[in-house]
Order: sequence, then structure tokens, then C-alpha cells
Amino acid sequence: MALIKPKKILFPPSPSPDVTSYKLYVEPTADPSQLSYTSQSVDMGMPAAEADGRLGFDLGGADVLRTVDGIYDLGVVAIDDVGNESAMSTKLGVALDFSAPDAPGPVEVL
Amino acid sequence: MRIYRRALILFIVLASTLAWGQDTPTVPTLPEPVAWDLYVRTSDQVITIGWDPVTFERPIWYELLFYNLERRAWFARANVPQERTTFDVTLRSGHYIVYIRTGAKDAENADVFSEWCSSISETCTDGTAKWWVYTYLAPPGPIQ
Repeated sequence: MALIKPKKILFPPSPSPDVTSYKLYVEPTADPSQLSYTSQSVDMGMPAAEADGRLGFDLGGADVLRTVDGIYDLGVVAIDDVGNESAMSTKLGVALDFSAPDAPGPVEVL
Repeated sequence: MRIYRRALILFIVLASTLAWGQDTPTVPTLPEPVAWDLYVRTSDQVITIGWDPVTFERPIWYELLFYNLERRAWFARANVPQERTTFDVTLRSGHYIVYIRTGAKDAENADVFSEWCSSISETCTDGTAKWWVYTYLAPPGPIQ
């Protein structure tokens, strides 16, 4: 069984006190980028904070990415209790590889 | 019985005379035209509302209300003294209608108020477009 290295994004939380959750928007990189509020998205809920205070989210948990390697534009928004979304914090041209290489051939002991 | 009736009539006449000499309560004039100036500082969700001053024969104050549309609730209420024509408020994210009216004391020291003006009233926004206050959620920091 192959082992896929975890891929996690980290971002400082929004300073607004009304934030109840975060959402990740994903768009395969295009020229120009089509990353927008209509792109595919993943609800991150309220991610756990790392030791340095940044919030972390495992991209392996995003169904839209799990099986498709490629270059992606990522956007994260903060959401309040009535569904308002903040401006998007983006990172463009992220290379994501969820596929393990083929295993080597059979092992022989001489 | 006749004495009591005369006393009653005399009392009524005297009472009416006294009432005739009192100031009748007056309502402050509507603060119009009101030129609204809106300053939005989105980094810390502080909103500054400004308006034209109202002059009146007695000291006045301004009363402000903020109505949040998403939550359908009155969010903040403030009394602002006459010498100020701006007010800073920190609001939760969302859309707000701003209401303002003037208040004053009448001759009997009771509170009297003008009609409410609002940011969606064309007369109160000096004929300019109606507006809501919208406070933004601050975005997350850079992704790594």
C-alpha cells in the first residue's frame, strides 16, 4: 500500500470576531485564473490552530482534489454566522500530487 | 350644593387660565436636508456616520439606531450630544440601515423627538442614492 505525504495549507485566521467557519475554493490553474466564488469549494469548518496560531487544513480531505494531480489556484474565505464571505486569500499555481510512484519490481535475495 | 358648584366652576376657570399661559410642547424639526457622509474602515469594522447639524431653540441631542438586515435585529443605539455631528460604531459583519432623529426637552422637561430619518430615505440622504452600511469580514492571512 502506498503512502501519500499529507499536504496541508496554513493561513493566519481572519481578525474579524464574527467568523464561524472557513471555506476553500479550488480551481485548476488557467490563464487567466478563473478562481472565484463560483469555483468548486470545500467547507473547512473551523480548522484547528497550529502552535504558531495559524489554521491548518489537510488537502487530502478535499474531495475535489483527492484523485486529481495538477496545478491549482487555491482561495480561502472566512464566513460568518449568516453566511457572508470575506474577500479571498489566494495562492496561485500550487502543484498538488496525490499519486504515489509505481512500486519497484520484485525483490530478489541473492 | 350651590357653593360647591360655584367652587367647581371657579376651579375650572382658573385651571384653564393657567393652562393657557403654558408653553405647548413642540417637536424639533426634521433634520433635513441631511448630507450623509459615510466612512468605512474595513480593517477593524469601525463605521463613522456623519450628518448635518440641526439648529433648534432649545438644546438637542441626536439619537442613532442601527438595524442589521441579515439578523433582522436592532444592533446599536446611541445618544449623541448636539455639538457632535459624527459617530463611530463597531458593527458585526453584514448590512445595516442607519436611523437618526433629534431629541429635545419641552417646557415640561419631557422628551420630544423629530421623525426618524434613515439611510434608505431619499429626503434624509439629500436626494442621493439610498444606502446601507455594509461591514466586511476581514479575509484570512496569506496561504502557505
